[in-house]
Amino acid sequence: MSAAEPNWTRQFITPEGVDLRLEIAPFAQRAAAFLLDALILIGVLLALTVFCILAAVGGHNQIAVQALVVLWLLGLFLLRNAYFLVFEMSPRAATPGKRAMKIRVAARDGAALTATNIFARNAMREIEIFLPATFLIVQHQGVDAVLALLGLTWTGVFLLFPLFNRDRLRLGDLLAGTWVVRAPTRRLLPDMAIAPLKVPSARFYFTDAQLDAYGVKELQVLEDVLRRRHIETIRGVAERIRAKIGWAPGANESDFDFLDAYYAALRQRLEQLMLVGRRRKDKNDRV
Amino acid sequence: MPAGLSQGRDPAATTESLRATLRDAGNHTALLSIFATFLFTHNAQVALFGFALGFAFGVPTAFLQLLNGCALGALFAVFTAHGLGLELGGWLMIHGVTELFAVTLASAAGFHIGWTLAFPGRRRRVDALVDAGKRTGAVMFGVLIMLFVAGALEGVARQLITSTPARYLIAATSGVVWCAFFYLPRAKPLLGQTGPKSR
Repeated sequence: MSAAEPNWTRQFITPEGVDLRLEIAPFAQRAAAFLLDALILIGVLLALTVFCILAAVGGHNQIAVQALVVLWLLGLFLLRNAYFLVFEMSPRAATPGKRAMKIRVAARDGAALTATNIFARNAMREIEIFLPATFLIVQHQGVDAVLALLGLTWTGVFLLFPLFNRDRLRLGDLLAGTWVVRAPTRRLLPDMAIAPLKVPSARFYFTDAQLDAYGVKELQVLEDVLRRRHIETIRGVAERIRAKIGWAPGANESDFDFLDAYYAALRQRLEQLMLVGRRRKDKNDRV
Repeated sequence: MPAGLSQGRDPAATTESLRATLRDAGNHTALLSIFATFLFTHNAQVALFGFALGFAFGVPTAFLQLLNGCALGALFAVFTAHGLGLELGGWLMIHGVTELFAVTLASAAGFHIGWTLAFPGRRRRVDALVDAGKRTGAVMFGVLIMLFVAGALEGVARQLITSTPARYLIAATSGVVWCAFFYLPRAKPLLGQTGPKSR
């Protein structure tokens, strides 16, 4: 077997025919997400327990105490079962732990996640998490150590199942037709035109003729150049544009400031033309 | 039968003490809501557990069912020996019709998964499992609702109604209601995919 890095990218074609290139979430991220969720669950359970005890000790009303016990029992049940269900059924399809790890649940066939999917997915936690946990606990209760070890080995098969298949599917995923994929948050870059427009500089004033030298395509190239901030490229581009529009550089004029101002002015000009219905594709497009 | 479950209801017990367990505590009405909640959450957890165990080819699910059946049978053996079989039936059936129906459905859902895993038929094992998961997921939703009703019946109704004929009446009514729900034909499935895939 070769030691090649496994390929985590999966083809995922939407009904529109777009390949989304999903990335399978690594086991470590999922384990971390589960640990986070478990910590949250234990924390909430402790808070609920303390609240119930304090409220029960304080009050002498029998009905109120009863209601607290019912609240605690139902809370325990809902935390164990509904927590994953509710969060994964929400549009984010991820529990807080998964969100922190930037992963989410998705259906393998590209369909929407249904309540039955999510339910089947999380019912399997009973034998993946709680059953191994039980075998860990019984060891301290006088059950034969060998028996407990055998049980732990048996249930370990369920727990570690995701490590032994290509898509890191756990039992619940297998049954529900889901998988867990990475969902990194994508941030939009800041708009290049906003900063210079806020402070209109008197030093850079371009005539319409100077701005009509270029179209949308050149604007986009210019934006790319500005974002990269590669000093050589910026100098070269600034010189080309100055020559083309006949711009005489002032004293101490920085290439970047010039391009930045020209970009803002050009974009404003092109947007104005669009308002009257003219779209200038590139510099060869007549106005 | 585990001692925690039998609570003194063993062959050595007297007829009177056995009868007393069937009357239950009429004076503990204050705790009924707690009892009902406990029964619902406990039974639902066990049903979910039995369902999930179906993944191990259904063997542990069968074992769990067998264990519960044996406990029930042992209980009946003790009570009928004292001529209390009919009363025990009422005590059990008032909620048992609903609860045992739900538990049977949960186990059946587990078996369905175990069976599909072992014998997927002509489809790929993965695809067959997804279908089984969708179908049983819908079943388990219903099971939880049934267990909620059963918890209320066992926790409240059984403690308040001590007459055996009345208990049997409720048992029969719940049986008719559930059978009507499951067996009367309906236009389209309530939840998820209940029939075989027709694509």
